[in-house]
Amino acid sequence: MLILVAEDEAKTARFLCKGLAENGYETEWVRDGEEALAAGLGREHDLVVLDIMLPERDGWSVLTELRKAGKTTPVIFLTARDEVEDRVRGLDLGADDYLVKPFAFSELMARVRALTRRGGTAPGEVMYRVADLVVDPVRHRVERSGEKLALSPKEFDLLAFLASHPGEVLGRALIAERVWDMRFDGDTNVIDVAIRRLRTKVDTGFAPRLIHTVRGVGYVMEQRKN
Amino acid sequence: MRTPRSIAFRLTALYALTTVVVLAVCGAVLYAFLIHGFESEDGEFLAAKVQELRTNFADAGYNAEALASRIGAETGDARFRKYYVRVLDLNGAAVGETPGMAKRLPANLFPSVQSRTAFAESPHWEEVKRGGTWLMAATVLGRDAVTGKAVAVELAADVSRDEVVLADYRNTLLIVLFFGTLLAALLGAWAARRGLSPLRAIAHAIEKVTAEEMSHGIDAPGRWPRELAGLARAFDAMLERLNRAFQGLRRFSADVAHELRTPLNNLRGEGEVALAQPRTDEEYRRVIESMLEEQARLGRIVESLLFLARAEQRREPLARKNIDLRPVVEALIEYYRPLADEKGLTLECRGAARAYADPDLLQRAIGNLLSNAIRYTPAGGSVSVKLVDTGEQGSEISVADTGCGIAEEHLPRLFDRFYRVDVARADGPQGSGLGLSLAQSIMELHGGQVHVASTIGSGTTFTLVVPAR
Repeated sequence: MLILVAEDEAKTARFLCKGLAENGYETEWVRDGEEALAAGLGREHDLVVLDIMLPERDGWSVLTELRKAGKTTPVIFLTARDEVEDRVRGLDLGADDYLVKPFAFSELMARVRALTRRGGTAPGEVMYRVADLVVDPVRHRVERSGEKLALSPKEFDLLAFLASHPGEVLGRALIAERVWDMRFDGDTNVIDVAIRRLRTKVDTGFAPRLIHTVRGVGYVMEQRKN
Repeated sequence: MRTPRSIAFRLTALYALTTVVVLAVCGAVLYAFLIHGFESEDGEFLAAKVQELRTNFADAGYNAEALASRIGAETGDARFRKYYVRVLDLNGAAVGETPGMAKRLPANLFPSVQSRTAFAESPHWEEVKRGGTWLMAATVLGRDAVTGKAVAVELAADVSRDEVVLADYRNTLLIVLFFGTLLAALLGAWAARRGLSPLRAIAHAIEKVTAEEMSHGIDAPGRWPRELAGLARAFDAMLERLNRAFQGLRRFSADVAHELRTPLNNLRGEGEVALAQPRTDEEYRRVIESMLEEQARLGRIVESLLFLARAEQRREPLARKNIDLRPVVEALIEYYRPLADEKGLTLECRGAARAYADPDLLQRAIGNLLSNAIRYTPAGGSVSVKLVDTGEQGSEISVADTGCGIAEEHLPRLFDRFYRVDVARADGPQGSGLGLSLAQSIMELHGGQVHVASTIGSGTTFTLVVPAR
């Protein structure tokens, strides 16, 4: 998978390329709008991460030209400007997603995965398995080591959300939005408390531990060695 | 756009116009009186002459011939007012007349003869222009003693002088109108300039007000005329509001700098200390994680400030919907439940109401209040949300806690950005100091309000008022 990163800020570009590479993507970095357009028209990319405020030619124009040339490569806009009209304009021009700086890298990864996943997950597969944990969203059942766990409905939703993204670090804001439908970044530690309670039911008394805290970022469910 | 005409010009034009109208109306009325005066004077003159002729007729022994000869002698000479008399028999033949009358005013010009009684009741005059203007009438004088036939008389008076006087009057009137108006315009221009001089003075005074010296207004008792005193007061009031806004802005900038400085300082300090000597991977990991937490704090502050700034100059309309508040509040309670359980608080919702609001924004406003209530209520307390449908006015959402309460002196500034009641708690990890500002800003966007009522020791209640439309 090849991702074109168009970003004039060297530091931003460096961490983007590094992070994407460590998640298994190949990257090509360009510093201005003209280069971005040339690269976008020249090679086949699986995704373009496009900064809006680029020298020479801005992101709007790069996207417009790419679409005019018949390129349907998915595009994620990055911007420090968060005006609603900008967002609407970006999506109108044919951007597939829109991320406002500062963004959580885990959030970007989630969007990148969603856009590059070409029918990856089969819709028939509805059971989530992580190590000896089995989550069945259809029957609303959770088993750990074959033992049935009693969870409240929201605890179940939280666990299912974590289990459906194994190995992905999920930020608190994202969890609040997907599980509780809270579309604001409240400044309490509600998610921390909810995770703590979930852990006592899912991880206490079992080995290995599956729910891990990534401090400053969020939570991840995975089976870790050792 | 055309610039509006100056006030001095308008006043001058109005003065001139007023003068023209007043002079013209007065002149016209006087003119009408003059015409009427002349008419009645002429009528009286002719009537008197007829009366005189009747007396003469009687003196002449009711003899038409004798009367005619007397007329010739009496009316022929030039007098103060020229008039002609012609004596007629009933067949219309002239018995005698003022010399030269046949040439100047032949009989066919005269109106038909009126009987004595008709003439006495309403004399019929006719005006004819023939070498001057003449007023003419004809009437029966009496019966001739010799022939026994009726004798009539045709009478004409010269009224040319009247016409001349009226024409003179008209000319004079026009001249008076012209110069009167000119004079009124000149005086008006002078008066307007003089009258408007306080306006220039107030403009000059306002010019001297600078951003640094906004506390000195321009109003003082007796400084301005009554019409401008109101303006001066309004200007000072505006100045006062601006001054307060400027002060608020200065304080706000200082607060922002302070709020941002703390996490920035932590970021820098942690980084520097970590790099000062070699450490284990685990130690580096902890430092980076802690730095990410500081970054999250910074990010939240920036996001909240941007939200507030955008709310203040909102251009696009809100995505308002008619929503049932009960499920919204219940979802929030479910979200905060673990936190409340952890602290040993009861959390409940009572009542039902609907609101016409942006669901995301309203969720955020109520969420901020709930989060505050849970944070400041000690273990064993309770937080309850009450929904009240106030009908036409909309609905009220109250969040009541059993916390320690807020002292009265804090209440007015409670919704200010970064204002914290308990300064010692400010540096805790939670609470950006913006939650209440956000809630208030959201309510203002909806045309609603936030109220707070608090009793020390027993708790605080915040009420969101959402209008129905």
